[in-house]
Amino acid sequence: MTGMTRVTGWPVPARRHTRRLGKYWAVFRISLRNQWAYVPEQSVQGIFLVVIMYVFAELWSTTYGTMATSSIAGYGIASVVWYLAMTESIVMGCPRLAMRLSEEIKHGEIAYRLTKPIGYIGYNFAQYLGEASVRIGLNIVLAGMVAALFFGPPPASWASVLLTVVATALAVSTQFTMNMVIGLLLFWMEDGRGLDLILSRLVMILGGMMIPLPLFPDWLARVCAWLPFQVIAYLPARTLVHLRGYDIGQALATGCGWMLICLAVCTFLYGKGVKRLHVQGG
Amino acid sequence: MAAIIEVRQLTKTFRQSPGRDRFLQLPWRKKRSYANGAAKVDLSADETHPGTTKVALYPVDFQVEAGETIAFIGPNGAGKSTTIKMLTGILHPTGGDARVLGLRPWEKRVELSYHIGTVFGQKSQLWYHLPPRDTFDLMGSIYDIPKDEYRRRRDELVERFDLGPLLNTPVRKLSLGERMRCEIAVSFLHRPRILFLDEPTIGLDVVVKQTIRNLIRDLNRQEGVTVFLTSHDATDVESLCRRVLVINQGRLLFDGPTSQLLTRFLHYKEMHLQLQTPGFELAREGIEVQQLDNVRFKLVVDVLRVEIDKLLADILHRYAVKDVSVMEPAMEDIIRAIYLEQTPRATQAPTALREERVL
Repeated sequence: MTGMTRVTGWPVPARRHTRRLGKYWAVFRISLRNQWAYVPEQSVQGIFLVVIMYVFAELWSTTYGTMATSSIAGYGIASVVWYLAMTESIVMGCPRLAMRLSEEIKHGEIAYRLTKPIGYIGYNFAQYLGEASVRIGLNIVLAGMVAALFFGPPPASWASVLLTVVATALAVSTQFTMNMVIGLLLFWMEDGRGLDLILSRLVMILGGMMIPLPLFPDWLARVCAWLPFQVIAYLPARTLVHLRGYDIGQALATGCGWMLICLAVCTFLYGKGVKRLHVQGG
Repeated sequence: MAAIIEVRQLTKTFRQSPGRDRFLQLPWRKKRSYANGAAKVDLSADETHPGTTKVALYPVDFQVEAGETIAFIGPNGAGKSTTIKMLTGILHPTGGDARVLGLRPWEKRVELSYHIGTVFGQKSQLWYHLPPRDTFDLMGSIYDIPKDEYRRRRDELVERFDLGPLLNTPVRKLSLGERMRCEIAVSFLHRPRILFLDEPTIGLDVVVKQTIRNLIRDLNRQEGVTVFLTSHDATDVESLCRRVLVINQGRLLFDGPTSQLLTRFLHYKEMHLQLQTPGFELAREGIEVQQLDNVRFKLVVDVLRVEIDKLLADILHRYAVKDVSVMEPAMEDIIRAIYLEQTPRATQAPTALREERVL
């Protein structure tokens, strides 16, 4: 548009204000508070988690009883049950991001997100983290109560508990970036439920959600150890219950690598997708 | 005065994937065809772009001066929301150019967002389970408003929008009208230069609509904010906007003062008469009389052929009139009149005039 001059008199920001951390912290806090409103509802869902825990505890007790052994691949019965408590809590506690983004795009709420001076991926991450913190925290309390009631406290040291907090944060971040990739693909696709389902099943099977990786056939365990799905379930649970013999440094580095790769894909997809966004009209 | 919004030949088309039509269509079903073919462009001849495109907006040009209140009206699918979304940087245009505050919106969306406010009537930016105060706090952080200034501004808006009793009530417990007041107040927190309102009164009752209109009008006058409004509601446009753009099927039909739109496109007025005694007879060209009961009559008057003041004087002279009211045409009728003007064979008078008018 030739001959047009910029309207002067308004302070146009000189640098990327979307990078200010304070605004993401504000999103995290409001998301945390908002999620508290769902605690009663989530406590009801927790009943399901308690039932699952009970069933698996019985199943593993029978398995250990039948095999007449106190340890399988280095895991005792208490370790396996606490392992399950951890993986189930994380996987069930992670919000259904792809579904929420799908709704936002379908119903046009994304219009509000995009007209604010805050990064879209960062906003969603802060919100996701706030929601996941409450949900996973509550799940761990409930599942931990069942595990502690039948099998005593977790076979963990304070060091492994602290490392588990770090590993859980990494697990949630990786889960977010993988879900965000699916969410951003919705700029091109109409429905992400299929991909979301596949991802959740991959985490369930190859991520070691139900069975620790060392209990897999050796070749499969070695392959799975390098896949991103184990970052979400196996990494934090193994860190808690069986830190001995686990190269935690390498495991965390692998997790960080996958998280950064998915983040890079997210950034790429967002840059491409936002230009072809089709926001539903009013 | 500098133009605050400049739009030149702005166009938007949406590609419609041919995939499903091509591969999943049952062989015995007819190929899909569009009733309003004018708005759909078949690009199937273009080998690099197989399939069809839907033209949401044909090339449009307009400018908006600072402080103006401008309405963008038209039926569903006319291209109103598409235009607003391009001017706020959410959508990228297919062609043409636009500058808002000197910035190209889709390239400088973040920079622009500090200076514009948006209200989408059918969407919410409030956190559903939390009181509006929390959303105010969040927006204060997102817009980098210094804390002292934020508190001052929030309190000012709370007072102006009368949000005191609502501020600490969870959003889920607020009525739609209360929620909309909060939505608009939140959008004003960062003192935007332009407020884009997309159907702000949709779903609201008459009284709440009027409250919302008054608030927007006051903010336009007191803070000089430019108001760019899309609406289906004719009264929104009449009572808020001095200028109107009429759009249909992606084409701009009219751009001018709201008053000019009224005089040019609809010259029918409705007169309601209530007589003291039964019996009324009036046969004159340009007047259509409808008897509502023994003493009440409705007259639809073509003001180009009949001078309404003379008619009124004549009626008052001949009959004992208990009550009389003259109504302006409704915006819906004006839009219809524009369509009728563009379709020469359809020349009948509008059948429905507005029943009520809230000022």
